[in-house]
Amino acid sequence: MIRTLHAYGRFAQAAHLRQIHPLPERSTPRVIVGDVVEVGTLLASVEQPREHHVLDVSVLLDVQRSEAEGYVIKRRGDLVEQGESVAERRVFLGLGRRRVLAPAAGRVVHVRGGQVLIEGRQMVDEVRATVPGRVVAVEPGIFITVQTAAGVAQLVWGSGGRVTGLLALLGEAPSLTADPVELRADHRGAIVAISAPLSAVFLRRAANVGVGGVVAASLPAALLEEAEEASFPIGVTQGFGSLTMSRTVFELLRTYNGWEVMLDACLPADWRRNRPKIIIPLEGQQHVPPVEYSVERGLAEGQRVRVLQAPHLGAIGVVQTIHREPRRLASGLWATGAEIELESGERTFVPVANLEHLG
Amino acid sequence: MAEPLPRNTPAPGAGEALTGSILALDVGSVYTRVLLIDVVEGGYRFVARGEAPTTSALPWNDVLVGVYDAIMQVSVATGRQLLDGNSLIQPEEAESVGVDRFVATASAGESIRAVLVGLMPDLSLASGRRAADSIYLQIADTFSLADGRTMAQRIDAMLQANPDLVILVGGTDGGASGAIRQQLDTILLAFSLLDGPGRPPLLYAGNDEMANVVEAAGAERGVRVITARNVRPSLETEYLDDAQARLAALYSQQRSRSAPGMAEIVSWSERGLVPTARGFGALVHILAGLNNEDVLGIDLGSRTTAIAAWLAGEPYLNVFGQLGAGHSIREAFEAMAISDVMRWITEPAVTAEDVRDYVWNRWLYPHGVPATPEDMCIASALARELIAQAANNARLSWRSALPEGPLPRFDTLLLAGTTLARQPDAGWSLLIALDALLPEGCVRVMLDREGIAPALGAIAPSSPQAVVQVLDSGALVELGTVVATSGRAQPGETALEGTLHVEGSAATFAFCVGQGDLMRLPLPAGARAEIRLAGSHAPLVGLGRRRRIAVSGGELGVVIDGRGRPLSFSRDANERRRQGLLWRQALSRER
Repeated sequence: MIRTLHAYGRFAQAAHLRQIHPLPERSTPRVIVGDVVEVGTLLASVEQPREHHVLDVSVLLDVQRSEAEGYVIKRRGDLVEQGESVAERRVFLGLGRRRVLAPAAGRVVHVRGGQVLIEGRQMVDEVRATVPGRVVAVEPGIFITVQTAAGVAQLVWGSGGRVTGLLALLGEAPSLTADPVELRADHRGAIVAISAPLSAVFLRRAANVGVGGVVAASLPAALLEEAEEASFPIGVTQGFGSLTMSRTVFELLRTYNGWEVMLDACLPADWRRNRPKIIIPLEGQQHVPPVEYSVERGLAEGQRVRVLQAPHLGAIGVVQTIHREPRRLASGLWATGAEIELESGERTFVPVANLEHLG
Repeated sequence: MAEPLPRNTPAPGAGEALTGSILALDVGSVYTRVLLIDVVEGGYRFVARGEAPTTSALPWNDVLVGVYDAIMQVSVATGRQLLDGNSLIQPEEAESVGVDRFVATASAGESIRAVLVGLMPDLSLASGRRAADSIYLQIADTFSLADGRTMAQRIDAMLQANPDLVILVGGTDGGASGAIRQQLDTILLAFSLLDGPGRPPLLYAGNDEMANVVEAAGAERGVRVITARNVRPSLETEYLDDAQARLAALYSQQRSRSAPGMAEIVSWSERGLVPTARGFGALVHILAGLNNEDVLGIDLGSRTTAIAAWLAGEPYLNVFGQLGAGHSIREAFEAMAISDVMRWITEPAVTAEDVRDYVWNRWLYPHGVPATPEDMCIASALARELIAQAANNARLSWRSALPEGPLPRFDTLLLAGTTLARQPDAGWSLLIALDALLPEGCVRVMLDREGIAPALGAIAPSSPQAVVQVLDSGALVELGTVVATSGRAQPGETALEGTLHVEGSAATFAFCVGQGDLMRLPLPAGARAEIRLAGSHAPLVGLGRRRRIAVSGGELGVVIDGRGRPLSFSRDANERRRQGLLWRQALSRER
């Protein structure tokens, strides 16, 4: 081992996947450790107040601020309907009433100094399980972890959203082009995977067919806006630009071609916190025994790694030799790194900062 | 332009002297660095450095993993035992066991979300914003008397913003208090809707006479109130230091709570966690004080860029949270014109599409190093635009500077941050800075190659002489002096001509720099020389028609920049690339 690696990816035909579900602050967990959950099970929720209405009773009833609270007929915690009287004052020798009406339905949350605060309709933020499995950790307000036996291929980018469908891999080998004609009507609802860069033509054809989702090797940044506006989730396996799919990723997808898989195309707000992925649930299915996912801290010979920068962006390989002395890169920079044997058989020196350990 | 406002000045010579070793930690967005400073032969010296990836996020989720790695590297390099298990050995127990002092700076993690509440946008809110600019803080919303929102709408906005901190400013000392009370009522009403633990702290830095009222109201409602001196005690005066110090303390507390492992680090340090930018700013201000000159510091980070300046007797510090070369490159790129970026591209194969793809891949993997000439070229082009954006934003808060046109003249320029410090050649670092800032006249340039500047700034309050001695020992790399013409001669004409006379030596170098060219004259670090200009030459900004200019040497010697201002670019792409390559070659030590 020479040093801690910057990044770790997950890529396994079968593993105990620990899926972390980040929680919003102040959310209440709805599960406990040990619970068995399905995709979509409610894990936590939080009520988010959205509208508030301040009623200045002293002004509206034309009374002294110090007296205003005496005219308020609702108390903190009371529920009110729209148009319901919140405060009243008799006028015209007691013959008439001046009222302060609730501008919206809600709950009285504050009565003080002649002011009444009504909390209006509430919205609920929910966090639901994205994988089937067992809850193994609950940290209220921080995260809930669900463990599942699954095949997993971590992606590098997602357009947002999540979909489950049959995996349909197009093509027989990694390629630089994907023919939109290969998209057929029976791909409707499927998660279509291509080993080539996504093109505008393919994207439109996929929308016309009504696919459930698309997984592409790469995405030209110029196509980002269109991809983000697509009506289905899109995931990218290698990176931005025109890159073909790594053979290892291609073979994994081919292994599970026709299986029901989940494309979690979450937006990587921060690449280290949450990354998009393809999950192939294995619960109840005949398969190799799952292995525990582990994080190796340092670079070691024999490790499987992914290259994170050009000229081999997205390529998967195996560490052959670790070089402890810095080497000069084609860019002119000096860096420590390792000799990597890529899938193609090519051996190349890659800086340690540009490697991701695949667990 | 308003008159300079009186403010506190740093006191680099003040404070109690330290004896013994100092370990300085900086937890950045990408790298965690540990620096050992110790007394060697009667003076403080920078002794060793360790560096590891920052491990604040998944899968480690614990900054200590990277911190221990970096500390172990220093231990291995020096033979000094620093850790006892997972604890830092402090104070030094015997020679080569432990350290006497520990300081920590940090910039890793998301910015603190704050709501800024004040009265007048151009007065208290402007001062409040400048105070907030000194740490990693994102203003999620701003309330003023003139924002046209009802109290209910402000409460909704406050809850929507979900701030970690609310800053209340406004009112001159002894002035009217009704408006402050009104804003305070809104804040407290919004806070009343949150559970006790969910209530963010309230920093009050307004009318001094209202401080007790705010504290009492906060105590009554279960709100933690921190008071600082008024950021705008009168219409003519601004006082930011106290508010900035409180903000730094709040940053330390917030990071301790939110980043696993950070609390342990804070427990090792007497001063808690100092925002990296604050440390960097302090050092820039110390440099200015030491030489009684104007200094500009640029720290280009992965997530943020900090611009620290000392100009006309005034200290400034601006942190730009969305201007970084890695984590925030995507947001920063959105504000750039692609044609501006392409001006700097010298690799013929690189297209605008390649630049866009690079930006997104860089955002995905901000810790990577450019491995190809094309990626290196794009990274350097983006760095130029980032620095230019940051400097142009920062200058808006410099009271003695015009909002547009050439930057004010600085005597010294300090370059910091991984992108600038780790170029294939020091000349490339300098060229990026020259292209981005377009300094005019004569400027000495230093490079923080080891990332030591924030640590020195953080050490300064308790051990100023350690800082001075470490600086004297050459911890910052002297790149040399740049002499830049501001006018524009015709192509083919001479921009600047003269001779360089090295002090204490008979060595003389004649030079003649053509319009549009750059030239390096040899002058090693520590050496001084005089440039004697010959013939007629365009006025050098700040130097008038002076014919003799004192310069100091460095790794790059003396650089004559005869390109004029602004730079002119050929419309022909091939010619523009050729021009860029010539500039780079002119400043490179390796030809």
